[in-house]
Amino acid sequence: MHGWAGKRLKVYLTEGKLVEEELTEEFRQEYLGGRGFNVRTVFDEIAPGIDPLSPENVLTVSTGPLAGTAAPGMTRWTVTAKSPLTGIIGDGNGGSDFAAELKFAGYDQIVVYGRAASPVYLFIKDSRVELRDASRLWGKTTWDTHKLIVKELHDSQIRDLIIGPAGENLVRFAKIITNMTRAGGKCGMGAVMGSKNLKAIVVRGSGSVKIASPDAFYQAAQQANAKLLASRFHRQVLGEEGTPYLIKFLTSERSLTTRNSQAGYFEGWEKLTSEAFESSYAVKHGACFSCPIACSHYYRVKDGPYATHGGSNQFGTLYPFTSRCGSDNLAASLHLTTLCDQMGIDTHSCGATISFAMEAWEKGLITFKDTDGLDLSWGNADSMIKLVQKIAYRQGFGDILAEGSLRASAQIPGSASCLTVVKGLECSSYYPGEGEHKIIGLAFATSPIGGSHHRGGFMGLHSHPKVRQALGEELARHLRDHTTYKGQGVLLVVENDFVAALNSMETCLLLCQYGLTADDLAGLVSAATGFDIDGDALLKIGERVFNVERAFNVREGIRRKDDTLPERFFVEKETPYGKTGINKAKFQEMLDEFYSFRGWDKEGVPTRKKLEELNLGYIAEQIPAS
Amino acid sequence: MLQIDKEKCTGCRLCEMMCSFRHEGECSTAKSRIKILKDEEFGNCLVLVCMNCEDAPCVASCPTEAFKKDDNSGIVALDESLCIGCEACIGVCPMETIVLDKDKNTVFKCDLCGGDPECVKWCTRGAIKENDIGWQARQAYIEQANKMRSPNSA
Repeated sequence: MHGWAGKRLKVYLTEGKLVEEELTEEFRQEYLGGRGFNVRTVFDEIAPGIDPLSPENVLTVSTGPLAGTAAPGMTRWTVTAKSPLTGIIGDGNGGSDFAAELKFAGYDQIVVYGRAASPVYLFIKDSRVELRDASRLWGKTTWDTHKLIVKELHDSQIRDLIIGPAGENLVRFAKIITNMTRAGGKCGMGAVMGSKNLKAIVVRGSGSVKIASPDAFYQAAQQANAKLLASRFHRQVLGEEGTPYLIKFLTSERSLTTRNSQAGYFEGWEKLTSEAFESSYAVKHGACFSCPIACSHYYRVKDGPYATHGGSNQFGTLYPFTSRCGSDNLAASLHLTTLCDQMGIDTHSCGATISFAMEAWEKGLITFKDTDGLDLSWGNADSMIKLVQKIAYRQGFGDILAEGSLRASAQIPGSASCLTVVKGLECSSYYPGEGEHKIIGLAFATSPIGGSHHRGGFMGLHSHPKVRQALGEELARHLRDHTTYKGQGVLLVVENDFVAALNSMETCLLLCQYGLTADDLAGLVSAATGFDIDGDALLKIGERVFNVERAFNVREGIRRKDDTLPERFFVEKETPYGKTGINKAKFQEMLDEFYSFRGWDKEGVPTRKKLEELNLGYIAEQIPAS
Repeated sequence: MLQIDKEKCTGCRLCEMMCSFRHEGECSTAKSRIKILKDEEFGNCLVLVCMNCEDAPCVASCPTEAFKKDDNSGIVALDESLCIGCEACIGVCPMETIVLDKDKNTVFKCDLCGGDPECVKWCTRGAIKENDIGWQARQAYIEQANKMRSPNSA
């Protein structure tokens, strides 16, 4: 076996049984790994309509064919299950070294069923796999748990996935933390682990990844590395500033989500930039496995009320507790980042849910007697810190917010207008209301997991042959004018498929943004695995993955009516920098174009013809006919 | 000789991947001659690799004279064909960078890739460099590395 380890580990928690299974060649080649492996598994193994927090849910973690190799930034992992936040397919994607260790231990995929009678953790050391008692770890933060397991196993170099108190307490946006500072954040995967009494997955591996064509692989890895290091965006912007560069960039685009997405410009942005961070709190750069760029930063706030330290100041941890909640307090944001890592809470949904409450407070829909005496004025960082604690332990008002903003709004009369969710997931990062990017709105509305910015819409594939062929040269050229609607649906389809493919390879999305192409990735996969594919075949795999995800959601009842945006994104305004907001009628036209190019019907259901073309005929039997 | 600046190490471990790939034709941290131990709470990265000790204990410990120190270059070379897998050298190496290959029952260590070290080529941030540094500086690094093994590190 080359590239892949070729095996999955099935963990039956109810019975305490562990079963090893070979991955078939067909499965490996049709889905590649990571997000691809996972979606096929959850489609096959999760019965429609089940409660995501019941033992019937199935949680799976996979790596890609290049995990644990020198291919740059291709050692990520995806965790997938039915989401307790959204009730549809949910996943989190993380970095660091976990995926490499799992591969070295001999597995590409772990699938977890049932519920343990009492807390356990899964320990994998090469071919030795066991469920160990986690009673004394239950209730502990992710950091304390990591340190206790290190002591128990006498090994500082274990790699782990751990949940904190939030996951145990079934906070619907609880995340999974790997080695203290990296997360698989979205969609409440931590709560699914918690519902299964699974505190952690701990791995140590001493094996190797075999390479099919060593010379070709060395050359392809060298070229990919050189390409990234020659790219100003990757080496200078990501490598030096990291993703917080987006504070300045999105400010210039009027797309920095501000005060619960009521605006795209935050007046305190200058205190949040990478320069502000670098001058006061940055310690050193940190990289995920085999990544030459190292976009992450360790940080330390030395003293004062927000004293803290931690491992990953990223845009995705920064905007939720600053512009989104109307705070320009960078030290408090870093404090909240570490707190969320320790508690195991997703920063995106947490910041969004708190900002939702802050807007409800601003509108007088909640008062001190609802919030346990906390003042939820915009920018009140001390209240935010107390709220995160309350959410993690489901205390008082925190218990309501722990349900996520959509469910919380049902408890707060009049607050539905403050919601910024798509399919129950709070829209992350970008604010398409005031900014110009119409495609981001469509991307949020159609993303398989709900309002996620990580499924396409900013990959820069405007000139891709598939886009040019479908739209013609002239229209394709106009796509670069982000204020236009026509053609953006086609562009999004190609970008969706590209992202699904690179997620299935467990490649870092950032390295493929104006960087590595589908052909680059295909070259690496081919050389490492011996399974010869080109960029187009890779996109086809992405298309298959995206369609299985849609089929999963269609089976749960998702249709066109759900592919929409929070009302506030549809408000068109004349501003000093032009007309903003997304036109409702034109949005529907974009959706039509998107469905049509996907081969889906008017309701957004994949047609039998499309499914058969993707070798997914059997799936057509399991979803309502289009 | 390799000169290490651990403050520049981001913990990407490309050096480990390329080291094992160059020597074994496969990617494996366990088969790498260079090792990165990470403490992810603070971002500390400990880079462990042969420092070619002046008075190399591996040379003295080896019953089959598989290790030899070149008087001119100062480099400690290992002749794997002489190794009997007794592991005496593993216990005495101050950097803990001699490893037993369980498949072959022989040990391996850094050989500077015969003068063209792969790890240096792939270290983007310049944490590993090839430099003609003296024993004093190398010894200082060994001491620094040992000090850094916090109680958290096994």
